[in-house]
Amino acid sequence: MNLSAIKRALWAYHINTGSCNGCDIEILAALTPRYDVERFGIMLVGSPRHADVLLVTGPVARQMAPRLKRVYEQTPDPKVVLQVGSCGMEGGVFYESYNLVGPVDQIIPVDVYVPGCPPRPEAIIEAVAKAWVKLEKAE
Amino acid sequence: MKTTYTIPVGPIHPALKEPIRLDLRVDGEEIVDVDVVVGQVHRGIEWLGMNRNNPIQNIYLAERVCGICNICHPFAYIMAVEQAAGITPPERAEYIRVIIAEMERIHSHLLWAGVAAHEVGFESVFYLVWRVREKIMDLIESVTGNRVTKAMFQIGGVRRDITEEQFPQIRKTLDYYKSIFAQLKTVFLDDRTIRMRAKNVGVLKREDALKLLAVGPTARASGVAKDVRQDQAYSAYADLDIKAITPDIITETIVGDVYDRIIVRLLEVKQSIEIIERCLDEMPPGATLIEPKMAKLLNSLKKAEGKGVGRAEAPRGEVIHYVCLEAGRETLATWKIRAPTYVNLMSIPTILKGGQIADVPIVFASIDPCMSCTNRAVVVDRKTNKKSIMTYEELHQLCVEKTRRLSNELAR
Amino acid sequence: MEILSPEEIVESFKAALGSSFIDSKIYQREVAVKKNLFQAIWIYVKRDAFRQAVELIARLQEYPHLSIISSSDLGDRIGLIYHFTIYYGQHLKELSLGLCLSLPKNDLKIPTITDLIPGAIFTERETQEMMGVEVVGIPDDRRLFLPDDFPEGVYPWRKDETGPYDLLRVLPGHSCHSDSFASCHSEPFASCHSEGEKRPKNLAQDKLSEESHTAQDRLREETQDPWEKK
Repeated sequence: MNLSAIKRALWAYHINTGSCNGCDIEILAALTPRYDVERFGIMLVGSPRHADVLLVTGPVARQMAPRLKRVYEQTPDPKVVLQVGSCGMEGGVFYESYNLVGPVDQIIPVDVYVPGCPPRPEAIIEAVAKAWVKLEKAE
Repeated sequence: MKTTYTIPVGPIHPALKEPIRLDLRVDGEEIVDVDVVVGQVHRGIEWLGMNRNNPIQNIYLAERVCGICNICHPFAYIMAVEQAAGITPPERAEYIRVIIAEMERIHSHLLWAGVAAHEVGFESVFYLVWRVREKIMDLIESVTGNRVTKAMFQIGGVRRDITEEQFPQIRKTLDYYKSIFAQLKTVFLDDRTIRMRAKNVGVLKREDALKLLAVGPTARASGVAKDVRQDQAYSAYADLDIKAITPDIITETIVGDVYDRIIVRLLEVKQSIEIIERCLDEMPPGATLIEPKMAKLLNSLKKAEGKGVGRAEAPRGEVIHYVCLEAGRETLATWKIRAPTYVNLMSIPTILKGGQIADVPIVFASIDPCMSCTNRAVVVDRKTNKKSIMTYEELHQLCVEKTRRLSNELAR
Repeated sequence: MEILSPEEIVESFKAALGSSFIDSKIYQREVAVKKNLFQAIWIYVKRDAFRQAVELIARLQEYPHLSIISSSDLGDRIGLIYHFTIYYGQHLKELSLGLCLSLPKNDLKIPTITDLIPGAIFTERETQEMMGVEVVGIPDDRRLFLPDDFPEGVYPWRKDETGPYDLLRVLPGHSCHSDSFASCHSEPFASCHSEGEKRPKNLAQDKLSEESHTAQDRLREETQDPWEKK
């Protein structure tokens, strides 16, 4: 993958639609000095209005579906959506539960999927790099 | 002119099944009333366990109740199933279970220490502590095969053995933690700013802790010496004479504030290191699994009938699983899970009342909930009835700014 | 506070509750190398003596620890178990005490214990919404975990027609896996199946139940709850 085309830093907003937090701590572990994505300029921000990348974890629970939609609408274009973890893809171990409203891509469009339960921090970094390239191409 | 605001704040907790929303009723800067609203993420795990999975598949479902303490849930579940079905695991398996559980406790407390530092405003401490935590994650990966969801447990024993060749590596990692423990203590307990932010903030009195059924370090910091490892004979802890850690080991009086909770968690890291070393020294020989063939195990579980209660001590408190097996039924007849934060949340209104808004992040973090947030704050002006939106990030900013302000005053 | 043995505790319950005391079971197991004892008591009482039993536990231990209230659907009755622990804080002396009750489904009421134990509020709210039991006198009867727009009258933990079968999320092109184990096997499942596919009945399970019928009966009699014995 040719990363020389990247011209600016990526800001990411993380939303948890009900995951067990396994994927969330691996996302945070990617920021810490061992894996250190901040040297590439990737940063977690506190509001979707500043974000370029949306990191979505978790199977979508009934109460969280409207919030997910609202966060997606608040994020300005151009944006990339990354779906981390197996439970957002087809439910993971929670498939068929009565309180889930379906995989993330039934609610908002997803660009990159990261399978794993939870995926390793290296896999998350690779996914963010792929999302980056997609974003740069889109401009 | 005073107005009352209602600020919903919603951090998400890992050990609880769903994220939480706090509705704060505020008068100026002081908190008047708190309401805890849960249920934003309910995945129906118990229903899935009773209707879709056989008892062995439930182990992997129980692991994913929480991603941070995902050994204690299978531990309690398996003890409940073994009690219901009348299975006794071999002694070596009990010791291996304890070693893995204590490794998880170390990693969870270090994670919490980093999050607490982040809430106070010490970003660099957050990064440094999580870097230090990577060593125990490497050890967990080399012993169990994965960083987060370990899947070491099986009904009737453990799936993998810890062999003699792995002992030197475990001891090396433990020595590393022993060597930096003094540094961790200095950073967290002797720092002036942390003392100023944590002492006499978020107090939970002993009697309230007893009435509201607090568990784990939240209760022990208030002087209630409840620790399942000390009180009830389960697994190899019964051989090890564990003593519950209360803050009076370092301070003379127990106040029950945030500072006491930091003390309890740091000392528990030290205690976990000692427990793992004792288990390595006293590991009994033998098999690790009573019934290695899974089909035979499933068959005997299908014919088993009975009730079982499994209680384990998670890094956050007591976890309890109740299982009822019925003969001829492939799934469980009844399964009830209760994670520790479920209980500790009931103490939050008592702890937060009378405090300040800027202290909410650090106090809420001190009962050890999670860091991932989906928050929105609605501020209602009572006079005009107008609503405006405030985010959790702004609340976190208030907390950090208070730290900076107080540090500057100290420096003068 | 003196520490009584499990047998003495059972005797004190029998003496205090009289005819409302139905049965008791004491479970003991040796643990690990040093063979310390893990002890648990199960006490079965009638509903009218429930508050009295809880007050008796509060006399055995000041501030008893209530872990959780678990409930099971037993057909035409609902079984509730209040999982207490007493004698905590002392080395290897803690006892698990399960207080078991049974309520008929046409009269699902139980008094609250939040005046004795304020920390019971969450678990009583959860039992109310998940099982449909009405807790009389509860100070806060809002829903705890289920969303506000969850339909009324659907109780997730039940195994009868009020279970959440209509709400199962089955992905398009897949069939429902949860039906072959559920005891209620009729109309409600039709809605959760896409394209009308039904999973074939589990023939092996039927064969097992025919062959070992008598052995199962014997086992069931020995380990049954007292109110299920005919």
